[in-house]
Amino acid sequence: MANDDVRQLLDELSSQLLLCEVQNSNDLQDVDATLGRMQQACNSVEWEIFAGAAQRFHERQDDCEHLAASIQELTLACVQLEKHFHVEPAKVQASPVNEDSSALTAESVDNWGFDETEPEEVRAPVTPSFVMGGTGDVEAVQDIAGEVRSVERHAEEVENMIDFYSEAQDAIDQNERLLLETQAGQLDDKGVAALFRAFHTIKGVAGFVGLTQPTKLAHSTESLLGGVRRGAMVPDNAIMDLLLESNQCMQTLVESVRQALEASTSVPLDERVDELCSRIDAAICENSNAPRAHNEEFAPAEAQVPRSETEPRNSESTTQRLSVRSQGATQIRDTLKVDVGRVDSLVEMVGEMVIVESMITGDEDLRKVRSPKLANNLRQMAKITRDLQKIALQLRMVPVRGLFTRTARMVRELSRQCGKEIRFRSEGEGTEMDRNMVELLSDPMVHFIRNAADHGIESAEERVAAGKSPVGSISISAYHESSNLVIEIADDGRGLDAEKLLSRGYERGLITTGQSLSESEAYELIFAPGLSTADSLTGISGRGVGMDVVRKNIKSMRGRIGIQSKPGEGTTFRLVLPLTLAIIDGTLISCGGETYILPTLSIIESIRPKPEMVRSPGGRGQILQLRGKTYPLYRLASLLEIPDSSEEANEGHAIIVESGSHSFALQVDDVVSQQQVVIKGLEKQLQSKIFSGAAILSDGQIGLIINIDEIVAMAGPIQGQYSMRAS
Amino acid sequence: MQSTQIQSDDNTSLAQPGKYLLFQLAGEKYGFPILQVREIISLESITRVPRASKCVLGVINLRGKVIPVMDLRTRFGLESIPSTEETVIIVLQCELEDRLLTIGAVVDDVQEVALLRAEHLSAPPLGSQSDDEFIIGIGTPLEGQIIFLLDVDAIVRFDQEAVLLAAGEPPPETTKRENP
Repeated sequence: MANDDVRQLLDELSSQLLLCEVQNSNDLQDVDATLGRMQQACNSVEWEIFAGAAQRFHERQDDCEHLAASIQELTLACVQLEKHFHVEPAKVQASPVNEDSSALTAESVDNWGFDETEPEEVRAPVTPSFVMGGTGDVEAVQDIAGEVRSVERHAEEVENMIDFYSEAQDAIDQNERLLLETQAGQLDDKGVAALFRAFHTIKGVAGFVGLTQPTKLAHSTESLLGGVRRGAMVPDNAIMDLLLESNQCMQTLVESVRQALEASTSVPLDERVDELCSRIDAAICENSNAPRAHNEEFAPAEAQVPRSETEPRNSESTTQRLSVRSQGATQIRDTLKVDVGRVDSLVEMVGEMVIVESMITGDEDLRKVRSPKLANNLRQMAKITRDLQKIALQLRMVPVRGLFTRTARMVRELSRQCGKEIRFRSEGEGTEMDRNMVELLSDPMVHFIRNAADHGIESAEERVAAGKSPVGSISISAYHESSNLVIEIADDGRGLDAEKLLSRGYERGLITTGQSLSESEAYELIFAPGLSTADSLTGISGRGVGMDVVRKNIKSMRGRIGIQSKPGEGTTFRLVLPLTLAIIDGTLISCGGETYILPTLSIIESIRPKPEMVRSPGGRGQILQLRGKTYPLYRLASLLEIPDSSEEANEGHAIIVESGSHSFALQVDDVVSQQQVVIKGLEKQLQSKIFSGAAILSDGQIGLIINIDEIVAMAGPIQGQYSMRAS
Repeated sequence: MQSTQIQSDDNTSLAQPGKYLLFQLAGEKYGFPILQVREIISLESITRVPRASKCVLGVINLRGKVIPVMDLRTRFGLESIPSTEETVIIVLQCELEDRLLTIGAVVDDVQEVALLRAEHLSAPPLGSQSDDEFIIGIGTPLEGQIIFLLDVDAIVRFDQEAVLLAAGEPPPETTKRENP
């Protein structure tokens, strides 16, 4: 038995695998025969690589769907076996041990090339000489072993750091929530205990991984909280601010750890930590040394039991506190941290399964089979698939709470910066949304809140003069509506000034004089880049950049923004977002013999236009008249530059779609159906911005998802302007 | 992995010894490094992608993945022909800008897998026109046989300006900006 045989067979097999077609049974038999011969020729170690794949291949010969995967698997096994033959000696050559090793190794490496020598005989000496070699090699091997150990140690360190990051992040988020929910002076023992615990956790983990700064900061904060717990200090505004600041500083530290991990550099030191720690220490000293001297009126309050009933009981024993703690802990549901990549691929696989399921249940041949049992099983499968899809999508859902907490913090800061008193309310924090969208939403939220606090809400004097409460209010709420997530950001400020927006719009040439815009169209102008109603630039807002960013982000999530505003009463922004980025509600349309998908969210309505509704003034483009409104009408086929099957404008369907502030009509051949589709990204190679992705339809064909915004941009300005003048 | 090894050796931009999948295109024989070939599939229904690069025939559903398919003839500036019994799609895999790209290439006919040793390889001819940027070597395993060895990475990098200009069509966003 010679290895040559194996290699020859291997060559044969890999070319057979590449050329074999799944449908061709002769090809498959050839592969199987070669596999049989290989099994005989290989020794047991070599065959091991193949055994599983070969077995599966053999079993699946009649199963076209899986066969392809098996062939793939076998091909990989071939590559592996090949490596077994060719690459191994190359490794020996490249290793530093080889440099001072015996001539025997060098010689045997030569023998291991592509030439037909007897590798079997050579292999025996080569491998041992690599591992053990002569005595001279021992040191080198030890060096390498040392290196390996240090690499392992490093890996362990990184692992610990990652643990630190996620634990600390959780603790910080909790703290922030707690601190923001609590009004100054109302921080009860339970809250203090929770904060103390969180900082203690951070301290412990940070100490374990050897991060000095977080340890120090956590320690100082702990002492401060300890003082509050002992009753030596009263959690007044200053202390609350200090706690918030320390939590925020910790956030920065943790963030820098994450960045350092990602860039695999060392963690930088933050000079603010020392300063903050000394301030905390000062606060502790000041309060604990002479609490009575400082605030006389608090001294009796502290002594009096009624001020806080729980206080004496809690300080009686630690066991009592523990019981409180465990009660609180039961509210936290058990969670499992899973790699996002795994969840994503699970969601993707489930998406594929949904497609295959609808292919099976919709199969013509299968429908002909009259079997109640089959029908039942198919129904069962359909149900399970739907449930599975639902669960899979829920995996990625997180409550909007985190986003709202950040917003709350921002309102607090802004109210201080602007010198306005603002109350913040939030509703529906438990509403869930796709994790990937939370990130995309956080920038828009910043801009909405800044605008509301800076422009929307008037100064206290103005408010009183207008007969309103001097305290402004910003509220955000989240809820589900059909299959969308709605987030509303409302303020009770002065409202948007449509006149001012219009005049700014004229100034900047965004609209032309004589063009009449509805109120809502005028409001849309605030999203135009560079347009701001603020007369002066403040540090907070007024550059007119923000809202443009907002629109872009919301669009990238395939969402919509609605604006409601009443002068003197306030403004409400209403964001309508899809629940997930992975699936959209699509409307399937046919055009030029192909099926395309329009996001249902951007469709207003679909009609079959009568001939008198379509006008083509001056032969320049077409206009659709519908219930007194006019829309520019574009043929999808000509926008896509594909052959058009419906020559007359009144044939087929007109779909009225909306992109930003304009709506227009797209003429298509037919509206096929509506269904949820799983979005697949398109490779950049396709150079096609007009499609935002693709989806596999229930018949296995591909439907391209049309990007409405790009289509309208492509439609060209001439027609667009024309229609505006006409309207 | 070996595939990365091959790619990283590309800075020498010469073909490495190893196995190549040989195929036919307009009467000439070409070869792709086998490690960048994922599979060969029969020509199935391709969904057209309107307004994509000229050499893109469309997209196909490869077991649940949407992958682009290019016409290698158009890519090489050859005239495209109607498909025959032998026409197949070679599914290639390569790393482009840190991403794994899977793309299909339509060729006239696949032939065999050949092992090309160092002594069979020579550098590509200099000064030849058109598609020499894809050719990273010439293999002559047998007397009188010539195989043009191709650089997968260069072939799939058709999204760049050169191709757009060659297609005589400026990218759509420029037209948009120029007419405010």
